Amino acid sequence: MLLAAVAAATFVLISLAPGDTAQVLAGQAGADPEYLALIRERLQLDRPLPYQVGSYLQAAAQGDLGFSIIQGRPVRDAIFARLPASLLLAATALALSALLGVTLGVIAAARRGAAVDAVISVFSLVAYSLPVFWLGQLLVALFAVRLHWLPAGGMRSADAPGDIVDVARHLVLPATTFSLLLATLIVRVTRTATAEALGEDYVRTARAKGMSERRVLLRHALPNALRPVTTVLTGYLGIILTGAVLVETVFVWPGLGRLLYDSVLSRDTPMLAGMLLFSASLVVTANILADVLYRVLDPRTRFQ
Amino acid sequence: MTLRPLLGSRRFVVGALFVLGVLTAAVFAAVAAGDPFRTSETILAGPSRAHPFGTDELGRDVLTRILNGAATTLKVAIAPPLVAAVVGTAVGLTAGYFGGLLDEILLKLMEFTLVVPRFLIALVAAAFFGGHLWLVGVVLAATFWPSTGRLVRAEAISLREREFVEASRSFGASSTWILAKHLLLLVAPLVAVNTSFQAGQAALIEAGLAFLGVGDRNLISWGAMLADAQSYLGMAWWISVFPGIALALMILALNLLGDGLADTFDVRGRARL
Repeated sequence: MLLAAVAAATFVLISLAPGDTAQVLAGQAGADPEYLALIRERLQLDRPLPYQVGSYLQAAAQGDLGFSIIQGRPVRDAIFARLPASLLLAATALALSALLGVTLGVIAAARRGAAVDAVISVFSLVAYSLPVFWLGQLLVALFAVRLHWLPAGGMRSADAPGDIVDVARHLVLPATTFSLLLATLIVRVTRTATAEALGEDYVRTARAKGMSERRVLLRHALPNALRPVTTVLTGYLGIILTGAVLVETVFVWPGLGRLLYDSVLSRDTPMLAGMLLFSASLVVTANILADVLYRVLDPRTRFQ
Repeated sequence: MTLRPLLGSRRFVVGALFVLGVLTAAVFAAVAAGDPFRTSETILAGPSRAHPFGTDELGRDVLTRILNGAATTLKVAIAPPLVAAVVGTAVGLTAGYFGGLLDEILLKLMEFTLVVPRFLIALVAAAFFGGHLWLVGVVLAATFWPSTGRLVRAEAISLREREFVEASRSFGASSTWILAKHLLLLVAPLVAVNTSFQAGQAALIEAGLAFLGVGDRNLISWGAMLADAQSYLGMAWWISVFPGIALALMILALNLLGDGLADTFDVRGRARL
């Protein structure tokens, strides 16, 4: 229901934009009115807007997102072709950021008020404020242009197709950039939640039993702090496409973000509508996933 | 509620001072700085006495351009979040306090607007309608207010059953009076925190759009300067580093403001970006 509304809104918004699709398709030279009329009839551009929206939704419900003339193939195929590269980058970045974020967050919570806590707090605030495309640019300038340690962009070298090590080398910079951006919020949430858990009665009991502080932290406080962290992580699933637009543009990574950017520049309407719908459904899926994970992580929510 | 405790928050003071500094820089640029569009023959020259931050690929002075770009960032960081704060507070209070069908409709509307990431909406809108600054501002305001509204609504729901509201009602106070006199003041800190985080986000989104080349081409934008720098990374680090630092510090300052506010009014954890 929500998705249908999003799709309809997207469609209407894009249709309202100035510019005539038929003119664009007919080409630079311009075309005679008969040809334009033919294009309009083919693409049903001559029908009223509500009809267009209706037929788009009907097709979308059956998994048909239309045809991208610029890509020369169905929108769905174009999205699926780019999905693996996007998933590789996103999964690596998510894993890295979860590892970094939870570790730093727990350390900060355990040493609340100490110098380490202050340093971590400043680090996460600064990293959160860094524009991701500028950070990427600096890393490229340093590690690719100046030091020649890593490739500046792309996913594969032309002379080493299909080489896993080669792909991994290309992955380092974009994944680092992306994960630094994602980690900042995880650090803050983990710190707050763990600090809160450390003040609970069960932690006092565990300490009273003579349990080591390390064990208290990792066995009792951390598991209870993971719930808000899960919220952040699943929230990221939805915005991965957005964050990826900038990261993938800087590093010329052949994923969905880059496809979105190209589609914007070439005004590929069906492609854009399809991708917005895809991104909205990611958000909805992420919310459902969060609910499921809550039940796994927190036994109290299981029998309600 | 007094504002004095804010001065005790180092984060708030540092953030506020920096934002004031940028404001001064923008005014100075408009009045006294050189022409940011003047080209010269000294292209891609490193920092020197004549050009403290160097020159770009057209021989334009980088420092002058950064000073002139401040206005763009300030406009987009201030106006849309403020509009969103007003609209979001009004809608959130109404929905949360009165509840019922009205609440359900308003909540659905807010959730609907939040499903598609705002950067995507801004990107598509800017690409199709031209990235005029006011358009970006409208898109940001339109996508910021639902998140403010949702926060305020949740807060209003928890406040409306409190004793002092009951007491006020029993004295015959009207709903308008209760909303304006009690609830508005109580949600204000939360809204202030949220608004300053949104300001940082707005600055980031404007720069991101300009970086992708769909920003306002008639304005100098730090994001656009970074986009120009992309092609000269190996030759002229200064055309990337200085605008980037300006942008990062500006966003950092706005986030510090929000952090300081959150610490002072103890709303940490409740405000979400």
